[in-house]
Amino acid sequence: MARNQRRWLDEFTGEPGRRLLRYLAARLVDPQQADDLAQETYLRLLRVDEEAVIREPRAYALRVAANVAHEWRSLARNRLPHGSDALDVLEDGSSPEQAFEQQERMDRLNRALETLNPNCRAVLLLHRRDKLTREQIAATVGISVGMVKKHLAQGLAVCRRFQAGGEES
Amino acid sequence: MSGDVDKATAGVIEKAADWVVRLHEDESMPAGERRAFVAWLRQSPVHVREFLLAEADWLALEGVDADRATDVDALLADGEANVVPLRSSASAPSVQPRRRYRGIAGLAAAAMVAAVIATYFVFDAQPTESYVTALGEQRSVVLPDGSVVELNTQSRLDVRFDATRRDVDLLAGEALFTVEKDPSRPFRVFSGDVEVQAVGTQFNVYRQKEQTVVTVLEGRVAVQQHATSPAVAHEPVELSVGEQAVVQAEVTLRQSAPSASKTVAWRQRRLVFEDEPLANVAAEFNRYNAQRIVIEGEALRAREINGVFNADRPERIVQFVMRSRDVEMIEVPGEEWRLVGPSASAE
Repeated sequence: MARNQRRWLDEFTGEPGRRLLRYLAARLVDPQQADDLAQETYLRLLRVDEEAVIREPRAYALRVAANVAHEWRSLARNRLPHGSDALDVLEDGSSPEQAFEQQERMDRLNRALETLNPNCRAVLLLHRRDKLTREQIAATVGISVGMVKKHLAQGLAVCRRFQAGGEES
Repeated sequence: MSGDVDKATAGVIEKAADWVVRLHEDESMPAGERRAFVAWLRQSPVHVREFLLAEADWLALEGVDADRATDVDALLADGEANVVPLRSSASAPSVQPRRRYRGIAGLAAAAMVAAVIATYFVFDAQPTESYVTALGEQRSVVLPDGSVVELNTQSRLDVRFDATRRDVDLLAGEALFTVEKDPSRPFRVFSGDVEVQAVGTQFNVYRQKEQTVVTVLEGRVAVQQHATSPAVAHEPVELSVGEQAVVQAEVTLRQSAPSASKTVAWRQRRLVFEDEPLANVAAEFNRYNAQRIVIEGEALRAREINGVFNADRPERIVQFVMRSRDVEMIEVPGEEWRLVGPSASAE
């Protein structure tokens, strides 16, 4: 049981987890879908044993959300006739629409970054783009690790707010 | 497009971002913090949603600035000097009004060195200074009186100041003026036969082939069209905040302007279209890019486009249009994308 849960969660740590997270992220692009998905995930998180979630809260919450998304997609797929073109599009993770959405999303993020103050933007780029650890960034920039974390959280929040505000920065 | 998020949502977004950054630390989180995080998640579906969205963005941020156009060292230097950098690349940060003035000396110096062509007229003691921007270039200029001009792509501005007047000729393109108050010297912008006069205010002037569009963001301006023959006299049109005048041959239309953020979206190299015919959309992109978009077929030229685009990514609008199956595209790299609509190909 414990071992099963371990494997269940492991998908959200390390490299395979990123693929699953990407799958989840693609489903979050549509605000209505994001709301529905969050609602269902929330209800399931209330139902499960709190202690189990607390052991690895991030992986657990993401796993539940991905399960919900996956279940819904299976349901939708079963309603389609076999051999339908729509099915192929649904299965293919790189349909033109999705590729387009993905590009738009990157554009929005790039624009959001431009609104950040220079230090905050530099720290975020060093960490996400250049893969430097927080400690390396602290040493490079000459600030405390605490300050690095603060910049990262602030940068992420601005990116989120930029998207939630519908383009208006 | 309703503007910023409300305060409550902004609070949740901040909290979610903070959790995500902490959850991604190398060493695992202490039990007490994990407990607090789960308690927070179980408080509201909105918390769950913002956590999921923050995770998605955190992942996506890995792919940001993929061509590494942003120089981190330069950013850090900027952060230290607290000066707004003057760059014309796509990654140039948006100029924020409150911070702009702190960097004025730097802006002025850079603009002077880079762009000024001073021309002196023999019969006029008043020197004329010209400011030009190349294709895709944008630039801020601080004028001698402290007024700030932001020049969009492919624009040209002549400035003549003396003790009694501040005259500016917009010879081509588009400019956003933030005018310093000086009641003794009116600030006038000429765009062909159109004269725009302001005291202390902010307004955008876009000189197009057939018309000039003046949009007021702050204060008031008077727009006067100068008649081509003495038989015709035009009344000046007064504009206040949020109003726009479209001046065509012998006609001035006054209308309410699109939102201020849309009018000056160009400063962030954003193009905002609302029900805009594709032909105009292509023309807008072509103001910024060497590889041009050409639209063929009346139906396609008239097709209405909605959306926000990056001015430096014309391929995005091409892809967008290509999503309709009835459009064909021929690309000549470095020169053009030719988009051919249904009626044109049938001919």
